[in-house]
Amino acid sequence: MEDQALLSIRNLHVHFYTGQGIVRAVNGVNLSIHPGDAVGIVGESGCGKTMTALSILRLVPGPMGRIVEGEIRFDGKDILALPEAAMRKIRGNQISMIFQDPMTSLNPVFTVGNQLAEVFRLHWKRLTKKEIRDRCVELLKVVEISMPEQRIEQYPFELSGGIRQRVMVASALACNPKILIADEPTTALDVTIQAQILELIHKLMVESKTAVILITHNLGLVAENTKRVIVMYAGKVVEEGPVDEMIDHPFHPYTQGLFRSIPRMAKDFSEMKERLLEIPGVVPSLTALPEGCTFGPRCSRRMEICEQKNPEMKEVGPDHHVWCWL
Amino acid sequence: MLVVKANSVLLEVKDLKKYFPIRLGTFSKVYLKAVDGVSFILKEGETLGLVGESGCGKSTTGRAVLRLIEPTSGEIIFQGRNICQLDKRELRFMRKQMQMIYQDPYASLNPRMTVGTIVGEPLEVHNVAKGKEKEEMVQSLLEKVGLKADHMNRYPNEFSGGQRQRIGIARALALNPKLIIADEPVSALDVSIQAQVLNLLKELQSEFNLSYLFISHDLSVVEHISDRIAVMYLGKILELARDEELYFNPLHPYTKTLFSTVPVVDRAARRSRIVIKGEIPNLLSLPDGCHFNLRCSEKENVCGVKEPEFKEVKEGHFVACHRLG
Amino acid sequence: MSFLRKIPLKVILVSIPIGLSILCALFSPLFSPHDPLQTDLGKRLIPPVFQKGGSWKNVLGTDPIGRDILSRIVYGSRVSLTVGLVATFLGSLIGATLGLISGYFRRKTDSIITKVMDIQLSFPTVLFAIFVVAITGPKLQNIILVCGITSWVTYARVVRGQVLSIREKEFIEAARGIGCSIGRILTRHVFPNIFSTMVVIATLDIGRIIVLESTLSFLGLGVQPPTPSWGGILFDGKIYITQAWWITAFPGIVIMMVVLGFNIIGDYLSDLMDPYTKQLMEAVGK
Repeated sequence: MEDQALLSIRNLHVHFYTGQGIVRAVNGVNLSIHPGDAVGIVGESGCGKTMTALSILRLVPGPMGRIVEGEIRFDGKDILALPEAAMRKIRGNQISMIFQDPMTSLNPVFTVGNQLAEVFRLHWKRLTKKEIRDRCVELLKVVEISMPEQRIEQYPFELSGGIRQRVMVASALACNPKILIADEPTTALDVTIQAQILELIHKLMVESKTAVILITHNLGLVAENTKRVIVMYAGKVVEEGPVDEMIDHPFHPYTQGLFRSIPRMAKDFSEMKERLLEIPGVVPSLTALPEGCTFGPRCSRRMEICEQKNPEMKEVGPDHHVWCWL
Repeated sequence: MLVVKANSVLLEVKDLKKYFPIRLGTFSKVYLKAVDGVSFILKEGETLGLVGESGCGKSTTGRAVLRLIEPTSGEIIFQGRNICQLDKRELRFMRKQMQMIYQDPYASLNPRMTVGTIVGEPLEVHNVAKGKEKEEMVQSLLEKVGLKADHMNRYPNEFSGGQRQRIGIARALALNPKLIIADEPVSALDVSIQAQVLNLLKELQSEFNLSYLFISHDLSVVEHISDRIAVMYLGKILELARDEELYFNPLHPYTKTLFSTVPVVDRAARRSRIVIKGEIPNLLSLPDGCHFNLRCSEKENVCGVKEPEFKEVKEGHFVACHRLG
Repeated sequence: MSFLRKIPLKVILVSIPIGLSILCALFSPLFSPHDPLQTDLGKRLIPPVFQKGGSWKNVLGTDPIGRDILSRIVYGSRVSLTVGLVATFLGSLIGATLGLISGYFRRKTDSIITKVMDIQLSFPTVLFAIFVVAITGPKLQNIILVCGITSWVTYARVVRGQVLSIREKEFIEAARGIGCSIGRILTRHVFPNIFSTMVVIATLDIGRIIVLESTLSFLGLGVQPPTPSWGGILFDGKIYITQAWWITAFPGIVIMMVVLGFNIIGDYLSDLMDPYTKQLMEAVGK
């Protein structure tokens, strides 16, 4: 299975060097993506999900942030060893990313068409201006933006959040990437628009067999849009597995806590009104992580070994792994 | 657990409107109808949820109720008095009874004031307590919201988002209000912290018999915490009903769409998706007739012509839709 | 004391001349070897100690009427620093108040105040200062007043900008919600949040005012002789520049060091205020 993986991350560590100490944003993450996968990475703010994604594209903000250890292989190549020029050929072309805030991810002084065209200018250099324009119009149609010929000449400020995000999706998928990383793509959007965008990503994914990594803190989104889920906490992966399996049988106390701390739409209305489970305490500061299991101090079922050693991986169900001593 | 309380009406909002004038040229002016005729009742000890997407006017409504924004027209009757008619002095006195909790825990606390000063300021402004007495009240407030007394001398930036929101809640409680308007109080918080704050709000409600106007875009959260829910869209309330009634029996096409598009974890609870086309219209270019008609999958001819009336179609269940007249 | 280690070397270095000037201004008699007003025609134009003809009695030489340059520089710091500090204080007071009012109340008040700012800005500062002093007379109060007036606009503009963004913050709305009066909001909520920016501007502005005062003195419009001021010494030494270079050079160097020092400190403070550059500084330090 391993050698067929399109993308594999092994033991990734990302640190930030700040005046307050070393911020250990990612602490030993392992991840495998195969063609056509739909994987969700869930966790709360600071858990390292965005940094993991940025590491794949070597976009970790330096000089403060650095990938200090680990291996990332994409399509057989060692990403961390590639020269910058080769990396640029991958970004936007073979691996694309969509970011959270559509209001700021587009450059306000260039038209939509210009920004879409940039993807082609960078990666498909042999196209003529007309060909690029035609492709851009096509792309806008594909992402279901009405009146694409007019939209191409518009500036971002003339467009709503939903449309801007569609433009982002368009530019991310322009070159038919093998992997699309969507980092909280709909958090800043309204619920009805959110549904449209995810529907769109799903449709395009199916058509072009692009693998999608969906990063979010919204468990419902993950439940509806992914096949596999990875749960992260304080820079580490604590559990991963098929999404239905994880929902029905969450194993790690943090995963259980997460699922039970949100108001749930359920068949039985009284479940909606039940007292929400609180995970006591707060996420530890990434500059001072506890010994042993990072979740230990907040875990109601912690044992002695949890304070001493970092849990190892074990299999608790079909393709369902957890890092816990229980 | 569900006890029908025969409680008195604390707040009655009648046909509240807030129009913002936008100057287009030297001689032309249009009005941005942020809130366009909103009416509801809030009883003592009750939580009314106000839910809707961006531009629906829920935040403006909340602020107008407190007269943080001056209403353009309408009546806001609080404890029997129309607060729109109060002068500055009387309004200031009234402010003790109604307080607000804000969305952004990072912007709602003055970064240059200590926590103790922030929470104690309402007491100082209204001359409720001074010196040692004030200090003791602040300490007790902090403990009530799950913080420690010695946090008084620290600054907001030393606290996490969830803790800052608690500080905001302590500040809102300082004057012993009867009504608290919570404007997206958990939207900016992490999922596990949301649970802490929501539970805290519920506890405080039963301890102090508070009434909440709970504003949020998150339908799940609103269903969880509210007794009754009003669904807003482009300045109007489209539907208002009890929590369970709305959950099982949403009548307005927009409400049905909302419920169907919320991502749900439990497969069994998922509703069939109602596809909704198009973007939310600009508040400056509202369609004729029902504001929702251009995106409505159950639209009829009359919908594009006449605005529907907000009527009670079942006991306690109000809808503004031509199809349910 | 550990925070001292974090301060970059150049900031500490430039603080030395500034510190010295302040000490000179406060304790002039201690630092000055001679009476700055005492003339001695027998000792005219003596060069500084390291040049032929100089002596340790007059380390930096003497001026055309035999007064010791070092002593005059020491006493001159009083004028320059007084004008610098008082004018800055005045300018910041006027500027901050107007900026606060303009930014918070907007509409008409804002329009009027910004127009006044624009009008003021269109006058070349130095010419304006010369004009005013020429009319009202070169007295210390007038100089301080005019320097203060030339500076208020900078404060007002920056404060206004900050107030415009602060007033939208929720904690201001919260202050209204709990019943704070406008006065209380401005003094206890808005002002403390703009204060640090003002300190930075003030630090940078002191340098400019010292130069302005020196310019006025150099043109003969500053404090009148025999009171020593740095620009005044330059004025005295103008015509002797080829014969007695030390008369103009030393006060010039002092002005340069003090102004440069304030600018470097101001830059450092402003970097501290900006969280991104602050992080960058800390990271690179590792």
